[in-house]
Amino acid sequence: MALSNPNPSTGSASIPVDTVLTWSDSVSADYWRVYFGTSQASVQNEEASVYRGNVYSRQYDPRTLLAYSTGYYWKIVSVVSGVGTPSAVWSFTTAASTAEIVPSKGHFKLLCAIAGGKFYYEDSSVSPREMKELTTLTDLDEDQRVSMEEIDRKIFIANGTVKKVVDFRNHKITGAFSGDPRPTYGMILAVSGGASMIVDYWDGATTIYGYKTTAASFANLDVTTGENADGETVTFTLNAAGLAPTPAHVYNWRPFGYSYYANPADNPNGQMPPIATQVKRYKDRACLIGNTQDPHQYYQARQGNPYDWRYAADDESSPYAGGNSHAGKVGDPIVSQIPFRDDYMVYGGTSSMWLLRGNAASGGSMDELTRETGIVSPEAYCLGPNNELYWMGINGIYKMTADFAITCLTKDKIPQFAKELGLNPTIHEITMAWDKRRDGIMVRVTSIYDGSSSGYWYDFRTGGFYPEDYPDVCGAFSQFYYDADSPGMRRLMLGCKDGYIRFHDDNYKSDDVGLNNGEQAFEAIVSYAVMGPFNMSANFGYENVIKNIKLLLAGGLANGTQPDTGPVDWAVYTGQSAEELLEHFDVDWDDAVKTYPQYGTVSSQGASAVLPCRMRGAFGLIVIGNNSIHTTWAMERVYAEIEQGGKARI
Amino acid sequence: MAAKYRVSFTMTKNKPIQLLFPLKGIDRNFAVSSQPALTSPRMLNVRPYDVLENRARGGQRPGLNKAYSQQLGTGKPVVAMCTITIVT
Repeated sequence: MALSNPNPSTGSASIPVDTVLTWSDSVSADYWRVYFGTSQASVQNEEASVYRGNVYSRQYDPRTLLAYSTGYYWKIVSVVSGVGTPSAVWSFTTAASTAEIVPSKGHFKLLCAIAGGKFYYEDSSVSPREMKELTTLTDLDEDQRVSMEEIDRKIFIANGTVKKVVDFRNHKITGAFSGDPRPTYGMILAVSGGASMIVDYWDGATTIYGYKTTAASFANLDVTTGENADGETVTFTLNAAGLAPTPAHVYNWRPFGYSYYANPADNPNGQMPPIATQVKRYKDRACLIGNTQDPHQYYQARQGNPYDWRYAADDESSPYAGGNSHAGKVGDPIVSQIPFRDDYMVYGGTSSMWLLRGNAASGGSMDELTRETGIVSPEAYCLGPNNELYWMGINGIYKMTADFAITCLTKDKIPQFAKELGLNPTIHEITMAWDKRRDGIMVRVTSIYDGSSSGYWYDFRTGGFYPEDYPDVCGAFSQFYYDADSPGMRRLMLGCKDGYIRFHDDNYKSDDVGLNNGEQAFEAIVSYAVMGPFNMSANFGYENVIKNIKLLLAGGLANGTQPDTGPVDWAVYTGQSAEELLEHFDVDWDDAVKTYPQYGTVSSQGASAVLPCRMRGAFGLIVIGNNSIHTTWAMERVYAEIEQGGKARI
Repeated sequence: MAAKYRVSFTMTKNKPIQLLFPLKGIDRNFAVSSQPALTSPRMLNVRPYDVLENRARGGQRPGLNKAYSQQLGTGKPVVAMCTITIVT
């Protein structure tokens, strides 16, 4: 049989749920059809329900389909010139769930996301985890920036005039008060001999959210009583059973008791800024910026109480509103707020950066960090492994160390940074994120119109910037490093244009671009690296000849112990000037037939290759790359044998 | 100024030169004829640490894969993400 060596081997058990299926094929097939599912009969009969599409290498990744302790069947059909040869039906059983998914330490994390005006959370009750819709966030304005931040097991959302709370912590009770005394933040409401809660938020009418402190439940008609901050007795009678956060309650983020006051100015908990585009947590305060009616202002809620915005004198926990200006001058509109280390908040303006030290309401100070640059977008920043801050200004990527020394990392590498990216903050979603797993920073600049995406990978280990582009559907509108409880899930997540959350997968040799007519579709990664230009001649007016080159690619012997590279395209350019070579490269590297260089493809896996050239010039340039689907490559080095030429033929 | 790509050889004997992957990334700061060693004026979708063995030798970047099979927001962009802590 042509198809053999299934991995996992057939009948095997306790297979990890992150397994990738591989097989051998004695023929060089055009592609392989994959049937995979839990029904042996369906797989045997090649039913549509278990057809998983075609693959172009001898592997299939079923990880999004695998659950724990489940038996699976799979079958491969090798297709050559339209003629299919099926394998046997192979099987395996996945391992039982481990404690790794939900650690026994008493708490765990879930990823949350917003797309299309809906809130999603990671469902931990299934394996592998799925993203599940919680609710539609009514009123959410998708044309406005959306920002969210966890504060004390609640997610606070800022979206222009819309502000929401997704509350994963509190119980909800509804009912009516008897008489006027009203609840205050932090008071205890309790049923005699029954349930009890610490009041967290009251909407000003009939609904209270609070942290339940007893095992007993709130029942319909329960009468709860408690003493508010003014020493008055509050009585609240439930008209329905209390509701646990399963998983969360969603309500508008407003000052405590908001609707009780006909005139919001009368609310002892003050007023929030009418518009906000970014929410962050700093010193246990909910912090807002982005009020277009006063763009120079930042706002901070009371310490420990995100529903109190009443500014008070002589109160170090008081809410606070401030600006970033020198005395007597108009400040710089605030674009971003960045909690930095434990005791600082960086405010990034359009053309300057400012540092708030300590508590704004008590002894804090606001100092200018730099006027050389501001920050281009609210999420165009990230922290680094040594307490440093990275952000994108209009002139490039900046770094501020823990002792506030600022340098521009791109100034002497990519002098025309903004021009090369076509940077325009009004039409681009600009995000940065520290990828702890890969030891670098992902910089993405994505068109909000078509998703076209460019940017750089910045590698901490080499200090280099590496341009990357993605298919439009993979354009990143958001980035987040998910420090999941499960080590295998810790990865940089990209929130993509097409509604999928993606990550960089070493096992993927193409980009997943979603489904096309129900089939998984991929797009080849166009990759290349230019080596040179290098000066081939030590003497002015002379040129030499590249006689041949030797590509030493990754993999050693084919199918040996070292992983083999895939095919590598190569080209050698020579000429009288270095710039001439780049011009030739720019013109024809993408062309199948190239005009200027010697070129070809090394397709044997794992082998090095000696390639005859006989290219004459004063300068040389060698390019290697690949634009084939389902292939990747890696190299060790390139040798070029050069022999004497003669006087330049100018 | 950084060291340049430079070939050193005698005129009477063929001698191979070796070129390494531009591990220090893109560099468009200098004259093209003075391109610093281990940098490149043109590169795309490559990283210094390859996906096969994670060695500092250069190769194609990793591909993009779906973290979850669900498409959110009926296909509209994922505009924000964060985590929530759940207490058991």
